[in-house]
Amino acid sequence: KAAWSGLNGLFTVYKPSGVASLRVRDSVETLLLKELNSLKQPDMPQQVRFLPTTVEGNAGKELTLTVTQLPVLAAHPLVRGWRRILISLCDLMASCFCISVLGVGHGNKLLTDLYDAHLTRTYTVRGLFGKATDDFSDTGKLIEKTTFDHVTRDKLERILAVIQGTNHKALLMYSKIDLKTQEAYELAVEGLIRPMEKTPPLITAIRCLQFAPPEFQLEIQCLHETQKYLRKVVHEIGLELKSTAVCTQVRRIRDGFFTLDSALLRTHWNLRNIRKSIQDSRIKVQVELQRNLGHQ
Amino acid sequence: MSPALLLRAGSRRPLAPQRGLRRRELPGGALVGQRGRPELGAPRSPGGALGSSRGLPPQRGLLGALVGLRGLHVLGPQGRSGGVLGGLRGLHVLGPQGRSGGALVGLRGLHVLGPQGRSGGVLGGLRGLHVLGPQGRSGGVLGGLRGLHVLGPQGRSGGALVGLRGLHVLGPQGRSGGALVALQELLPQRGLLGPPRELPLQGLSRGFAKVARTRSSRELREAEDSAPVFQYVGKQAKRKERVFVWGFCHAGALGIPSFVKPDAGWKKSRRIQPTPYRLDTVEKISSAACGYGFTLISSKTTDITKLWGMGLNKDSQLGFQRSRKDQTKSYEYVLEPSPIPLPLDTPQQTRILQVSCGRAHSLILTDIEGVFSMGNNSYGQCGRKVIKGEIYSESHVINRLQEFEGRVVQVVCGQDHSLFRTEKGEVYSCGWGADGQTGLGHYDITSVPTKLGGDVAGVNIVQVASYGDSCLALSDEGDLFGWGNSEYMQLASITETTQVNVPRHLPFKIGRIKDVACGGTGNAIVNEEGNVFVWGYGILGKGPNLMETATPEMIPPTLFGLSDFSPDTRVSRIRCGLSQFAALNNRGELFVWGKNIRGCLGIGRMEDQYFPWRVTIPGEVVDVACGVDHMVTLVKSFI
Repeated sequence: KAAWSGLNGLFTVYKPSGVASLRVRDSVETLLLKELNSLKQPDMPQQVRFLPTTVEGNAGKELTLTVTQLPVLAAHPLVRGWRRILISLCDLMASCFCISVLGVGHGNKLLTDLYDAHLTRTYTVRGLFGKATDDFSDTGKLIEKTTFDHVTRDKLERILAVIQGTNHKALLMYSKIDLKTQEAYELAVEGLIRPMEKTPPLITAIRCLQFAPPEFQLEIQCLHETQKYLRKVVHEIGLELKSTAVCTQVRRIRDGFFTLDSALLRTHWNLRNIRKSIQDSRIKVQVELQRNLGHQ
Repeated sequence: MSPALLLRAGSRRPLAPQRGLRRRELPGGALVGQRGRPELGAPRSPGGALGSSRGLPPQRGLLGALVGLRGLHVLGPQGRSGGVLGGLRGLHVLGPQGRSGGALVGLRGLHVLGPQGRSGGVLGGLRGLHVLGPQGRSGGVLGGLRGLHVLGPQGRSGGALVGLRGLHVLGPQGRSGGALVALQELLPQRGLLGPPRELPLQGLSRGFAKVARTRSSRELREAEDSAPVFQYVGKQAKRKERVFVWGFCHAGALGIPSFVKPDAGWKKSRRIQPTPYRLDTVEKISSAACGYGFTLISSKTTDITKLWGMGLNKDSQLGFQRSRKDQTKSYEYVLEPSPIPLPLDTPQQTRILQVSCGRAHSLILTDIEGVFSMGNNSYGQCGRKVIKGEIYSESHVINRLQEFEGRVVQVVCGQDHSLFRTEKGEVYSCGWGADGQTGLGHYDITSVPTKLGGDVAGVNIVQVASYGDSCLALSDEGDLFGWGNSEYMQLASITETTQVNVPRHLPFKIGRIKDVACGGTGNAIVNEEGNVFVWGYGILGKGPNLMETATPEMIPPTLFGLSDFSPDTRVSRIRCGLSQFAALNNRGELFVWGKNIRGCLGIGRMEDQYFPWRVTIPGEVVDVACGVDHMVTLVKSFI
């Protein structure tokens, strides 16, 4: 019983690459269910029934009611089947490592709230200079090969600064706030202007972590993005540098306020760890949601 | 088994190499998926079906069918249904067939279709050399083929070649004659013996479509390695200098004639250019200045043409622009950057260091020949004696100023006055003084550049700034001095009077100042740490609530691009137009704010901007010049 009550909230798992998110969700659900149902079941409830029986009475067989206690068959495990829980996940990302936020029980509603809060996510993206493919990743059909010996870290950072600046401007414009008000000025100063509805993908911050031509690694903080968009960003960075680039790896390392630290590895997918994770993130979730949705 | 069935049974791709021979006895001697040289005897009935095999000796019964094969195939003379070869390679010799004739579908290599019986030979989707021997009745049908085709003499329906390529020799036809449909001239053949490309068996493909095949990773890698590498820019490529302009177009100040006079009848003239537009210049522009409806751009070259002007020229602020229609007249509006001839002693050695523009006059600073001034002189702002009743339009007068002790290193134009700063740190001024902007202690006009006194006497001034009627000067120790108009509280921190005609020290505690800018009603400075301080009146950049202040207020650096991701972003330069501000940070980004007069902010919108807003320019901004209703930027490309 206690096990069930603890299972209401959000937790994160570390999804390996190449596995579909739905598969991950299914395996987590199966594991949880197995454990939950293997726990000691409570005793079956009993009910008091008045059943008609025949009793030797005065004038032969009579119909009277006797009191008996019978188990409630409806609660029998074989009748009821396995108890179910509902796990939902935030969004699908195939073919990349990522941390995935899953919600259990009442946490599913929190997931919707999390989506409405429009928090940013952080990705590390690895790219390769010198190639351009049709789907912007290195497994696609080759379109063009170019030289890249003129690319330096300084030039790359210049381009990244421009990308950040233009996206910041787009952020302010999409937030649909009247720029002539004092409130807009104050929000802009604190950097709290953020769109509160669905917008095209926006990058809030981007920087270069590693640069070793032809490889490079970027950290991108973005809103409402898709994997294809991140690959396209890498491709466009290549074009701006008068070369070409493809994306080799995309990894989500932060989703809102869930970071890599709180993600559960494959070996830790069991009831105890999940309950602990839900507990840990409960307060954080409450605070963040209050802060973000309170603006609306 | 009918031939059609056997065709479908075969695979289109060459079957994978089989290790070892596995002979499977199928009815009628069918070998499926084999290699080597299996010899198939001469079975009787349904004919032989060979999947990926070779050498099929003559069959009796139905047919010989070779599907998905390689190598040399010799299909002997068949019985009734004739020979069927599908998806093959190599040399195929289809001997004389019986009734239905031979059908070769999706083949490669040399095909020799011997004389057929009734239905004639059908060659569909083939490549290579095809020799279709004399056909029987329906004639030969070649569809979607490539290569050399020799269509022998046909029987009745004649030969039909559909969607073919290559050289066709159509022999003598029978009745319907030859029909050549959609042929193409001889094209270089793409490797008759190249990587296999089988076309679909069903139907006659036209030879244009290529079947997408999954290639092995090795093939992909090889294709990738052999792909050509393009080079767009070399290792030592230089960054290009560009000029971007935006704002009000009708005066011609942007220098793009098609904005005022469109080059096609259906185009409309543009009143405002709301976003940065590239201005093509002949030389690399090192200095630009915006006046009230006109622009000057100059280059540091030693060529004869080093100064160009565009825009309003009603007071000859752009010199004499000889009209083509009438040699004695000058243009009133100059629509594109036109060279301004200066009366230089050594035109091929002098370089122009800086230009500056005021309301109706302009100043040019050269390195060895001093300062030149042109334009309106009604208040002596050009540094020469005021001539009563002088007509300034179509004037040839360009004055050379030489009354300075030392070399002039900076020239600044106010609205109707001029300031000069020499190497020694002294400031000279001339022009209108009714607001005390000449700083000479009186409110009259001055027509000869005179040295300033007051608090700047003896101080080494490193920068002066002015655009309207108030002026600021910066000393080498970071002290600020101001004089001129103070109606908008620019100097209200030290005095109650609205006009100050002697330079006064402004004791602001805002750190060591690096750059100053003076606008019409507001002033701005940048200190050493890269923080921007503003004071005065108007849209100062701290939201709509701050409309006037006498003491400097700092604009938060987060509005200029400072963030956790880029913590060392600083503002490096500040410039003022009449009622707008422009700031450049060390990453080359331009931020503007203020009144958006006729789109001069360049942000794409027409509304005023109450806090710094980034202007999107495709390049790193090096310098910016602000005017009343237009702006000019000097930009370096990214790569």
